[in-house]
Amino acid sequence: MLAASKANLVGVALFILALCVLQNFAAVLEFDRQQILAGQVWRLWTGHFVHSHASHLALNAISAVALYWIFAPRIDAFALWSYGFFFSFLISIVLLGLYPNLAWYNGLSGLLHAFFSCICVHLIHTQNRLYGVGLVAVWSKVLLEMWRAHGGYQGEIEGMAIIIEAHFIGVVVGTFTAVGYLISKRIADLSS
Amino acid sequence: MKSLLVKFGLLFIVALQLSACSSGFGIDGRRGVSSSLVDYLYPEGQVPPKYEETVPHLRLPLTVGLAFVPSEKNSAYSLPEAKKMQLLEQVKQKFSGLDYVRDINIIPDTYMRSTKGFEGVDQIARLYGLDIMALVSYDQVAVSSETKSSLLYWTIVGAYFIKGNQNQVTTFVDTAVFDVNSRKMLLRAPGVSEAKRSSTLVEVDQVNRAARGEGFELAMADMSTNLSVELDRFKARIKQDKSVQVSRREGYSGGGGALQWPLVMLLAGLALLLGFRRMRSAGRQQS
Repeated sequence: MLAASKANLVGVALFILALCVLQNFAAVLEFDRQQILAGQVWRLWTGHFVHSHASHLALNAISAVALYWIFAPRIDAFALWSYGFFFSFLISIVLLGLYPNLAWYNGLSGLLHAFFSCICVHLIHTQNRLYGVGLVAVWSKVLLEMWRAHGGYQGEIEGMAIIIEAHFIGVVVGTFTAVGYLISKRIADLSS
Repeated sequence: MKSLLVKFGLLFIVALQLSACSSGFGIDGRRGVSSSLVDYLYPEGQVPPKYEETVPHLRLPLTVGLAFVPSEKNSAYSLPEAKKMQLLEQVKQKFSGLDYVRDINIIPDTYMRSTKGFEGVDQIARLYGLDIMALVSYDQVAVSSETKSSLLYWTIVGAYFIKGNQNQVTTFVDTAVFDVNSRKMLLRAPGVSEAKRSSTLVEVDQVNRAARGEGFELAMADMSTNLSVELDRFKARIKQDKSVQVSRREGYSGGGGALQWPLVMLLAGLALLLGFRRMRSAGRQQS
């Protein structure tokens, strides 16, 4: 238990260190529509790991660590990386395709929303239906955000506009990926 | 003795004629053309105003003006207006796809010459509805020197067939981007080039002109590359030091994905609570 906690702490420290280091290269890593369309496709993934300023980074880093801590015993590292790779790409592609007026985007929160909803769906299926409360809460949150945005409200952090569409896309992507995975697994089980 | 003197005299006159003939072709030495941004913005010895703590405010997407700073004198070495427009068009093509740029307007030299200083820039900005102005100043030096093989020019035929002239053109261009309202410089990007071409004596003018054109093309291409890099740096810089205020016109956005403090506190509290419970249960299992 103690060894696992130490490993977790080291992992968390490395993650925060990586975010801080990447911050120095934000100009070439963030989601920038023009640059992506010009061929800098790495921004589809890396845009989620850089932030506009220190407060933005702090908020998302604390949230990421808190979420990891909440779900730590139920997450395996390989799944975390592979889902991270998949979700970051998918969120960026949707932003690129459905929001042509969005010129640039950065930040981890879209990805965190995707992770949260995906893990909740998995845990509802495998462990406890009470995790449904978390899923309902996150869906309610993003729908409320979208409704407020539709009414003209624009959230900001130190002058940076919060792109709530990324949260919504994250929840949609996370939920439907998990549901899709479970359905395909069920079909595979039935056919075997 | 007298006839020998006459012969030497005739030879001297012929040599003199040949020399004059040879120097009658082409250009000699170092010539050039330049335009100065400072002289244009602060004409007739005007003193630049003291530094003011105003923060430029850019409303995206921007309408940009692009022009060459006119040179003081019009000489044979000045870049033709058509060539200037062609070079600026290439720069426009490179940057007009940027999302935060609505339009790039090329401003003809004749408009720039009408009024100097920031008053002139203001007039043009009002005319075109510009938010920012990119002014390209330049300095080009053309040197034509004779190589050892130019000795054969003395044969006259050599002047037509021997490439005894080395034409070297060094070009420097510098683009300074200004916010029209605050009159503050936002960024600048230089471009340099060096073009060398050899020629026969009779082709010096023609080759030199081609080298000067090529020099401008290469320098502008270099400047475009540097400007692209500077724009990326500028975007990163203003996000950090807030030296420029940026807002977006309707229908244009950018931003970050972020959770707000109350939710972050809730998550952090939940994580701490769960962590505490896990530690307690682990302690019970050990005891």
